[in-house]
Amino acid sequence: MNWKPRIIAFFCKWCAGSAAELAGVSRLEYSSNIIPIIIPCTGRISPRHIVEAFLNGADGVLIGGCHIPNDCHYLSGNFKAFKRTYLLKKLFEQIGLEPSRVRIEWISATESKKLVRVVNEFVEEIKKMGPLSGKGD
Amino acid sequence: MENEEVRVGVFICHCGRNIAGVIDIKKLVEEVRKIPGVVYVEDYVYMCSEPGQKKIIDAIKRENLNRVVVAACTPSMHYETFARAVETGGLNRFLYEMATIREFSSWVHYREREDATEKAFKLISSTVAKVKGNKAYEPVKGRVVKKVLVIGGGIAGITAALDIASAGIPVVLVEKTPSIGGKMAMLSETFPTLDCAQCILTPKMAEVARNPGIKLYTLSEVIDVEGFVGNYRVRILKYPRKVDPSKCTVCSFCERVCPVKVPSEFNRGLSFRKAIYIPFPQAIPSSYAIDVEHCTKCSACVKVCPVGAINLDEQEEIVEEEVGAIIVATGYDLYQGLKLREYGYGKYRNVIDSLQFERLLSSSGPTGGEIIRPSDGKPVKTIVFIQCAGQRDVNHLPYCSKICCMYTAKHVLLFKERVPDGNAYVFYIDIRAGGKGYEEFVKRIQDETGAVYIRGRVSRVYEDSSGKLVVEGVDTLSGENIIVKTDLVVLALGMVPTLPPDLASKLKIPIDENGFAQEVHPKLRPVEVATSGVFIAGVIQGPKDISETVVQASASASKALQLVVKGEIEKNPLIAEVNRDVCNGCRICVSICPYNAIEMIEGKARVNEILCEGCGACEASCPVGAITLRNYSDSQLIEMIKTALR
Amino acid sequence: MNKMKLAIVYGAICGGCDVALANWGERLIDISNKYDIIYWNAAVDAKNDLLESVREIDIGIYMGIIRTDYHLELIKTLREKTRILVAYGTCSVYGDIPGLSALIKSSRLLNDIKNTVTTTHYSEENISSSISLPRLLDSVYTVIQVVNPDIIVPGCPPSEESNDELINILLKIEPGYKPGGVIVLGEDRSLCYICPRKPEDFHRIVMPGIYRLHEVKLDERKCFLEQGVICLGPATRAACKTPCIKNNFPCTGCMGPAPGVEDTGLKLISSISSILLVDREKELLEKGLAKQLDKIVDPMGLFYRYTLPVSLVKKISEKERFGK
Repeated sequence: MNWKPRIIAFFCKWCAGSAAELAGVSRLEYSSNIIPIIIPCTGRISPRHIVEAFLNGADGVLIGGCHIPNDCHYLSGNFKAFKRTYLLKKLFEQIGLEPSRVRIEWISATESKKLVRVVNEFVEEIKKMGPLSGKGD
Repeated sequence: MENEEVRVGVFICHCGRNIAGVIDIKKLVEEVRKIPGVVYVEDYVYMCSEPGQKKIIDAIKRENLNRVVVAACTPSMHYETFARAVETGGLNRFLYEMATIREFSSWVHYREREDATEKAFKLISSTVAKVKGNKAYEPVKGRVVKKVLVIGGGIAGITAALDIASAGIPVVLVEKTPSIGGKMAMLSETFPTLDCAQCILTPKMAEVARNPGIKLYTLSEVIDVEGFVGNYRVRILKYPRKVDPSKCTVCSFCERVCPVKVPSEFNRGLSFRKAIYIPFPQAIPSSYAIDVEHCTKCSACVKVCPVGAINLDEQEEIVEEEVGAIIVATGYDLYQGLKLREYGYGKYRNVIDSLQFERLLSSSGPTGGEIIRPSDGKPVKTIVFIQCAGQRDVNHLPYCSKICCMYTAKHVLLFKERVPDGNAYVFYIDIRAGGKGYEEFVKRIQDETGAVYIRGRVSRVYEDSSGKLVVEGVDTLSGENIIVKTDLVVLALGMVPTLPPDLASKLKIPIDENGFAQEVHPKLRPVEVATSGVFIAGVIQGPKDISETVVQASASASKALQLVVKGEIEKNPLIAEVNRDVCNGCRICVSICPYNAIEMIEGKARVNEILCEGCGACEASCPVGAITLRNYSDSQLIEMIKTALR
Repeated sequence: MNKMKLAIVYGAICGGCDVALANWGERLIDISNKYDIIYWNAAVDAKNDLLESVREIDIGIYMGIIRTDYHLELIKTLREKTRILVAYGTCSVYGDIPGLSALIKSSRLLNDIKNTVTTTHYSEENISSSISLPRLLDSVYTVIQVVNPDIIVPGCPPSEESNDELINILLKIEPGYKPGGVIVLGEDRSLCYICPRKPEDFHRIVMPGIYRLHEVKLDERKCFLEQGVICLGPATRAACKTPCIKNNFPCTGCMGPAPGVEDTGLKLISSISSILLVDREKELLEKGLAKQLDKIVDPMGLFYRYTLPVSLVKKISEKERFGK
């Protein structure tokens, strides 16, 4: 199959983004199907961004933020990301989009190995799910 | 800037072989040239080097670039380096971004060269999409008033005030009781050194009084705080002392003739004071005060005062102060012993709390340092200490107050020194003695004083017909029930923070479920709270002993000084801003901002430039897109997403 | 003579917008003094062939959603021949209730009907060949998705104020006039702007949970969000005078999205979940917050009740993706 999954990853610069940098420094390999977009805080992400990713060709969206409850550099952005994503995934269930195409993970700045594991796992999952297709029945 | 044609320059670094060894630079340059808006592309072996930076500087000038993308390592490494180069080239630093093609591509996809190159291209093109939407900004400068307010005149407040004043910054110290000194002034000796508390405290209190940089308001409370970091406007309510401290000589004639007797707060009800009183002899200010609630205005004191210091007509006064930073050190009180009904506190006069015991021990206390029963004045031969009274208990306080094991051991030692033939019993659950020398201190006392340490809880305390207290408990190590008949029972009650809720809400200090102020981070920012410019010290943050309190007070003083000493603060200008034409006043952004940086002005939201930290949670929650995070707007993010997926 | 021509055309309607027009009451006389109402199924005896034969129409008012191929034909014809096209009512502009079938293929709808109707034997053979029924389109569409209207009147039905405004516009229009851009009736603001429950001291909203109307004793002066009741006012156009709010009922979004809202549901999902229990996040953690969010059992029906066909999520669901 020639299809390569395309995944957008929103990483907050303080935690998951730093973990991605550390993964680079440690030369840990992971799937190249994932394009990171670094944002100040996962609280910056709104459901619109996730939907735009899917509308423009993404097969999966990964959100990497700081651990709940205390790690968020901006105190509570990760809670906002969690709540918004949770409710969005409920909507996705209703519209026939597999909710597991959106994954939100808490990855601290030192957890580069976790980042690599999550990325590779997620890419495999998306490969199994196949490219995004509407299921409006 | 709006209508200007965007001219993006992209500079691709080889980073030696780090990038060039994996990524096909030639192909990358070719593809990047095709990106709409990119007018210039250059690659070089080490872009961060002097010659590399010069290429950027020259290109900006020569090619009239108004946006720059440097594709290299991460911003954590060289953001500043290239920012300065860009500025030297005459371009505002916020019109430049970095694309991390090293850590995010060449270093992690080193076996997939084609994919790595493609990914590098996507990283660069999405960064170009972002930078096109960037605008130029200057750092935000805010004025800072070079003065600090300290709320609370206990050992924490005193320490902070002295530290700050010695750095040359004026301090306003506000204390709600008639004298500074706090709970430490009530103590007899302090563990583990057994220093006399008054001896180490009163010199500091005197320094506060003498220091021209410290303005002391006693019998005063902060009733209103307005403003924000660097510019707080504070209103202080001064209750009328009715005695002029500058005239009072502490001769005590007034006290002798006052007809009103009231339980003494300083002695925690173990003795009486008059309506005109001095809390303790070493009080600062060194002056009497009138208890307005109980004074009958008989004027007997006025008639005998040799210096005419008393004015019964003095009224409340409100003063205003402008400060740049606030340190809150409001301290604690003990948990209400009355709630422990099974222990008979409040019912039996010989069941007392640890602070009351300190007053009994103190040579300037109500009994002159003699340990006698409050009920009948008879000497105490047997004493029972109950640790963890109303603490570590789901029915009362869930937490541990940390200091009780240490001060109980201290109490045991001091008791045995004065009553060598006395019997001391300690009911405990654990012994927590974690500080330097603390374990040795407790061990010595356990070994040398003959005190009986019983591991178990007390279920009941009651008085028998002979007036002796009966303590019923259990020894969990032997499994037996224990009954001790004793003269005195001392309860180690928990420390409860006394931060007034409305002060906390005015200062926007987050409170945890036990009433303690919540620090931003216990390790990274232990004395700061979410509100910029407000710091905490002492038990307000959590139970702790005096040395930890002093450390924290100095830490807060240091933080406050960092803020005010330069007289101005500079902030990253990439904050949120509101388009008032679109805002409908729904208050959703105001409600979620973690820094309370958004307020409503004339029905619409407005972001405080100094308080906003630039997280962008507001833009994501605005229902109509009225608030945007500078250089990180929704439209930019959506462009980045689209470009990354092309 | 030479009155201007006005036609009122239906898509798939419930009749409410028709009643709203009938409620113009005596002002219909003013309208009919200026316009020749050439087509209005409820009031005028004209047949379909009139729409086909007429060459020019000055004002065309379309209400209802585009559900069948016939509706599609109607709106296209109307747009072609009409100088000023008015999309009247939320069905025609954003989809409204019939828009909720936007994600369901018409084949499945017909199947559902076939499988649930138990009365008669269903057979295509019994239908006379001289009658042709309109076919359901594969999905529902709104006027703005098919043509460019000149005036948009949101509302389910449009409010008294919007109706008055439309009547005034119609009475002022001169022959040959064509508005330069799209006119949307109602304020360019969200409901919060005019909400009587907005507190004067602008204190923060703390949403204490998610509650249905019957689960909480409502305070009639307090913002619904502050009581845990979901109100779509923050993202809904202020094209009414908040009759629902005044009658102790939260806004359900019938006036469609406020300016700045490209997708009502996505915006509200973000806004509502952001303020939910914002003061107890660290106490409740993911589990506690999820528990409250689980009380929203039908996010699509709640947040997209009136706007599903024009939403972005509909686009994903239909495998339509830009650039592909």
